[in-house]
Amino acid sequence: MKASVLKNLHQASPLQSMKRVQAGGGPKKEKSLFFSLNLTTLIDAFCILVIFLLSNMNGRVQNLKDSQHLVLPAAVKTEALDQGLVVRIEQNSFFVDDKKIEQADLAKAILVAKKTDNNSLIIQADRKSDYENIGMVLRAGGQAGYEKYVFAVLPGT
Amino acid sequence: MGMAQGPQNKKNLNVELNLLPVFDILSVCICFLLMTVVWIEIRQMETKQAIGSQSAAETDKQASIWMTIDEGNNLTLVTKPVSGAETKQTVPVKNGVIDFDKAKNVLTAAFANNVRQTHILPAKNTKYDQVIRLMDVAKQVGIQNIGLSPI
Repeated sequence: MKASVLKNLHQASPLQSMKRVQAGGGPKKEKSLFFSLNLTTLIDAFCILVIFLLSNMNGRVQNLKDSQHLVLPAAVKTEALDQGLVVRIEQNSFFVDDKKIEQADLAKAILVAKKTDNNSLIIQADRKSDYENIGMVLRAGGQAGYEKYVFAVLPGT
Repeated sequence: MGMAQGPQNKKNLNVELNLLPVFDILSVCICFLLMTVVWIEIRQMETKQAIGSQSAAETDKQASIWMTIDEGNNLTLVTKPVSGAETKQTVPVKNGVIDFDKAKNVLTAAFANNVRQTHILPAKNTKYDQVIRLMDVAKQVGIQNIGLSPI
């Protein structure tokens, strides 16, 4: 019978030499330090983890860049995030598709970056931002021809 | 005259499956997925703005409620019915922020009077989360058509 991998390890194991405890007198009793590892249960757990993580992906790609300076506001009535042009407002600076843009060039940058296959403008801003900055993006988006504006939010209250 | 049959060799159907490569593959899969999974799902709130090409004649006149946020976070709600006089209500600030509970009550009453669209006019210094929360309250009440005015 073909020896298993574990059996071969057992024969060369350093534990093998340590398992014999010799006491003065009395019958020698060898304490077996060998234990068999049942991989089936581990593989079961791993399979469940993999299936969970795969289902968590949802097949959707989030095109928003996470930032430590940016805490999104929360809302209850939300929808799944669609694709669109992302305008990020971070510490009074504007980023269109992750490129920093001056306030005066915002409408032009949005117009240049506008894609024909989607007509929504995604606004990603910190919850403590002043509405003045949001208003600038809305105006620039209007000049570029956007009708649909989407605000990135976190689900919850 | 028959063929003498010797002892039939039974093929051993017991197969030893080495689980270590399976274990390896699963570990790699899990590491990869843990690195790429998104734990915080970002959602969206949508609003539509009319652009210059839309004329007043194209849009049907509907009852609407206009919400103005002043610099002190006091909320003024003006209900504009299809016919009849406008009504104005003020929701004073509560603890430095908009009183969303009172605002929700007013919006609920407006929704009961067939108001289906709202327009929000914040001040320059109104915080973004106040605006989002007000939009959220309107959506919770049932008013889905929300407009946002740039300053």
